[in-house]
Amino acid sequence: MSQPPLLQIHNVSRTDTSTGKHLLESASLLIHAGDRIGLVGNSGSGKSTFLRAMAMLDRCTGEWIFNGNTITKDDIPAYRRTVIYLSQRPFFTTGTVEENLRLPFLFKSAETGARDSFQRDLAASTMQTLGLSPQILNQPAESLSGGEQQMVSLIRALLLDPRILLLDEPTAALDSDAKLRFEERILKWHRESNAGNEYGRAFLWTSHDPNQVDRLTDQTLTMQQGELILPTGPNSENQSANKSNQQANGVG
Amino acid sequence: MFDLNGLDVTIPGLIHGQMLGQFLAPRPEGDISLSWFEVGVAASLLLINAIISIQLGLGMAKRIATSSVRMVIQLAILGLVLKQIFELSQPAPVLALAATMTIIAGVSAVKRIDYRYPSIYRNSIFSVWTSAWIVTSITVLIIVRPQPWYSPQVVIPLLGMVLGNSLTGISLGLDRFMSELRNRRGEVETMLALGATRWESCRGVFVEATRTAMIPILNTMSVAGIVSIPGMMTGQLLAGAEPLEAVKYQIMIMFVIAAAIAIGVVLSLSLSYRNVTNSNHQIEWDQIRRH
Repeated sequence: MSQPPLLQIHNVSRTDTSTGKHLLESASLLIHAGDRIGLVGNSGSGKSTFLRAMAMLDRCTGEWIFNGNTITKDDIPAYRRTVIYLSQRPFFTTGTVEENLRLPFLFKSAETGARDSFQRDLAASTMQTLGLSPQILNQPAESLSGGEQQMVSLIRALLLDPRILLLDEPTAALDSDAKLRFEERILKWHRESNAGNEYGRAFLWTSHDPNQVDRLTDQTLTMQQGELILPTGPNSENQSANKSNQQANGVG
Repeated sequence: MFDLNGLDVTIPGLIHGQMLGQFLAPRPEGDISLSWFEVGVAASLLLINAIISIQLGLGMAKRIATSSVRMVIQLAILGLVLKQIFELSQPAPVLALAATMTIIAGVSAVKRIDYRYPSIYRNSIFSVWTSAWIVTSITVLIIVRPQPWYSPQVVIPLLGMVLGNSLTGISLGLDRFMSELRNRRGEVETMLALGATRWESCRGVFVEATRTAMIPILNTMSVAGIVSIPGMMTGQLLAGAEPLEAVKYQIMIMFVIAAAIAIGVVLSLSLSYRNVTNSNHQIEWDQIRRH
């Protein structure tokens, strides 16, 4: 393989610290620049648990290696700006859309982030490509429709220039128009940021809809009762990534 | 009174300010001691509450009865214990009673909190203990300076008043902190996912909880002497003290109580924040359970 993996996670497990229930069993995965990975599974199978574990949002055991560096506790805020988890339900603070977009730039980790300050022009142009009027920058974020909120949530993440997006059923609450726009925007982001191929991007998308996963991704993982099953992707073009994922899983 | 009414705990630890006032005041010339018949007259006023409850179908008659009986029994026990300790006039029994009161206050502070984590009792007791004992020690040893220093007439009521207020503050603060953390889970998680440290994501909840906990004492201070005559001053006046002397004492007590609340609240919230988060900038949601 020419390039080292963007992100490697090894033997990541999560147990409910209160009930002792195993929620995620020793999952391992390699993500390369340019990967488009789908994650399917029944509700309750642990898809969200796995995505949250990748973003290190819950107490887990295991190893996270980003760009060759093992992530330790002090790296975590900066890591989460680079490997961004987008939840099913977007959240906004009281205040305008612009204030919400500025929020991540108020955190200390902004100093080490890919972008350290808010760029209003970029926000406005990103909005236009998503079919949103830049005028909503001045509207209260909480007054937006569900679809608009999900779009703004995506813009908020994109403005941080992430390397990996972890998308947890992002279009579940959107109507079909908004769903298509959202999908297009993700693919466009992926295509454009990988064209220069120096700093590749990847995303992982969970969905109930197998058609959506086929449409958007080139390999499919399955979650089953807290276990990650690799990979069932029909596409042959990404066999090398598939193989390396199998190897990573075999380590466990 | 201070905000003892906010929590209807009439445990022995919560001694009303009037009692302290009477202990601190010079012996009265006129006799104001009560006979049991006179106490009975006051008790009969409770019938008004009972009648209202029955008439309006509030279903609180039983609660009124049990609360009243508890209050009478607890205060009677307190009276007997205090009588013994006053007669002994030794440091050890005073400190033992003070420690017992402190632990009861620490446990009571957790009583009304809906969302808890495993070490919440330990944190509450530690915070009540630290805040109340620092502040009471300074007051007793530097400000009031009774002879001897452990003089139970001063130490016990003063500590009781400080504990009662500190526990109210801690209880309000912790309850708000835990419930806000739950209610604002989406906000906190979103901030973490976008690169916030654990403190950056929880600061809003922490500030809100601190504010909530401090509001009662700030309100009490701002209306003191206008809407009500504070409890300790009432006690001193009843016992025949000079009004300006009583005011001086009351001002001192207000500051002491406000300091105890501030220390106790910040301490209990800081400990809770550390217990519900970890150094990987995660919230320990699994540990937070509803009671």
